[in-house]
Amino acid sequence: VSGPTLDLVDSDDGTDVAGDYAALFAGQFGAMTRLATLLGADDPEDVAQEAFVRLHSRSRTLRDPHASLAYLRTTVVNLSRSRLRHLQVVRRHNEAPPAAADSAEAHAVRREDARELVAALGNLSARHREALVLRYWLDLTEAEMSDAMGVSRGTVKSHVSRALDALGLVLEGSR
Amino acid sequence: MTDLETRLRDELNAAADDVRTSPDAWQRNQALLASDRAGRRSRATWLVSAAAVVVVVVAAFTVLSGTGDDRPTPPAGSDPFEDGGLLGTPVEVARLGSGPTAVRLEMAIADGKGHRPDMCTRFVTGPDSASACGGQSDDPENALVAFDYLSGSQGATTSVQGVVDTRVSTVRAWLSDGTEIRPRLVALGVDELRGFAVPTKKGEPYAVRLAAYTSDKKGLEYVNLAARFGTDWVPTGPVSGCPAGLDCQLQNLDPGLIADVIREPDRVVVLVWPEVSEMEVSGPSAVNRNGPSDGVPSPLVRVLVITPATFGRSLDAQLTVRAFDGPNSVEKKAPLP
Repeated sequence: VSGPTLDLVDSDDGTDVAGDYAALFAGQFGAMTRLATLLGADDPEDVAQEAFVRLHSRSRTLRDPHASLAYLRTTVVNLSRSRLRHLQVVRRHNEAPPAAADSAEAHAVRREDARELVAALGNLSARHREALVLRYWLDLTEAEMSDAMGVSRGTVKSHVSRALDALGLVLEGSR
Repeated sequence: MTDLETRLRDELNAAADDVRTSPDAWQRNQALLASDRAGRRSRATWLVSAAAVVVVVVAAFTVLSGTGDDRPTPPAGSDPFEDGGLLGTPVEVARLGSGPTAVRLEMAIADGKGHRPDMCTRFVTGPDSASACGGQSDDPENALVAFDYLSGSQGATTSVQGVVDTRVSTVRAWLSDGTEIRPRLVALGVDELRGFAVPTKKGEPYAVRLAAYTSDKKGLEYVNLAARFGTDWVPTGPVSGCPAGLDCQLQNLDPGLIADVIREPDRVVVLVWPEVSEMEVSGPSAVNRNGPSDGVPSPLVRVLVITPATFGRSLDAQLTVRAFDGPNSVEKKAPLP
């Protein structure tokens, strides 16, 4: 990300939040794009952009770095899930479905055929995929995963456990 | 950590390292923010106009389709209802009130931006209307997901609306006071999708829980709206009737039949949703089967309290709790003491 120049003063109480926002963007835009990619979004950079735009309108959240990051993660998870759902409807509606091979996910997978587990994530449900990516890539705690996924901690545990089981089954089936 | 987990972590890190962002990402972000600010100014203008109308027709709408208090509205000039971006014809899915002050909720599927179908809703009162597209969806690859989109609105009319596919025969909705409503499913003319809405007037109980069923009463999906839209919209604080000392925040409860199972020193407390008709509690050599207890203040979340006296034996061992909703059931283990 090239160095941002700042000119925005846009919060409910007039406080200048530009510096916070720019620093967060510089530090986290790449991570949010990678998160959306690993979650299977077909347009991960757009998902990350949308998450930052939504965050920008929440100046109170923006002043708390922990809350900002949590908000970004939750938004990227929700947007990625919505994108997958949209794609499903598109494929049902259009006779010529979009070429999945052009997705960022497929691109990432193509770069390294040996990434069998990452490829197998595409066969899991969105919730299971989220659980594994948040747990094993972002190293989130159960509480943080609970917030990001909008489910209880018990459900988080269940998703991780079942996702690992499902991943094992997918791998067995591919052999 | 198992070998599978270690390998997964390594592969995720390697795949993430390959992801590159555009060199002009910051510039694009600034352009998006400028566009968003323009859109908000446009919306502010609309809301000021609407505020004057509210006095007369009592109908202002703010549409929610994200989490928390995200309130996206199409930028000026991108309303698919006006721009012909719809895949089908708008249909009326619900109506609140009658006569000139009635609020009509219209719905359609739109080919948003030429590549992204959206659920679009339009709230109409007399000559005034407000529209928005988008909605949350869950777990697209999961065959048990029944709600294709969900969104809500907040204002003089509070509403939750969504789309279901052909497997769904019935949608049940529960309001914040426990009242059950079965919204009409209206064909949208696209992919045999059908839309529904549960509108209520400001200040009245509004939808907090949804369930979708097949024609043979199989429960396809149970949704707690607190988990979807955040607590800015749905009720905050513990559910009324929650036993003292327990965490009964709506957003923390599981959506599927059994909301929570809590073991305490002298009892096991089970929270269940209103659709549960029967409960079964089993231990190493005893089974009790009955309905959730009556007389609990909150009709939204009901409580079953298991004590040694009601169970007929000690609660020291592992207990299994099952809740039934017609042919559907959910099983949970009560944690060991």
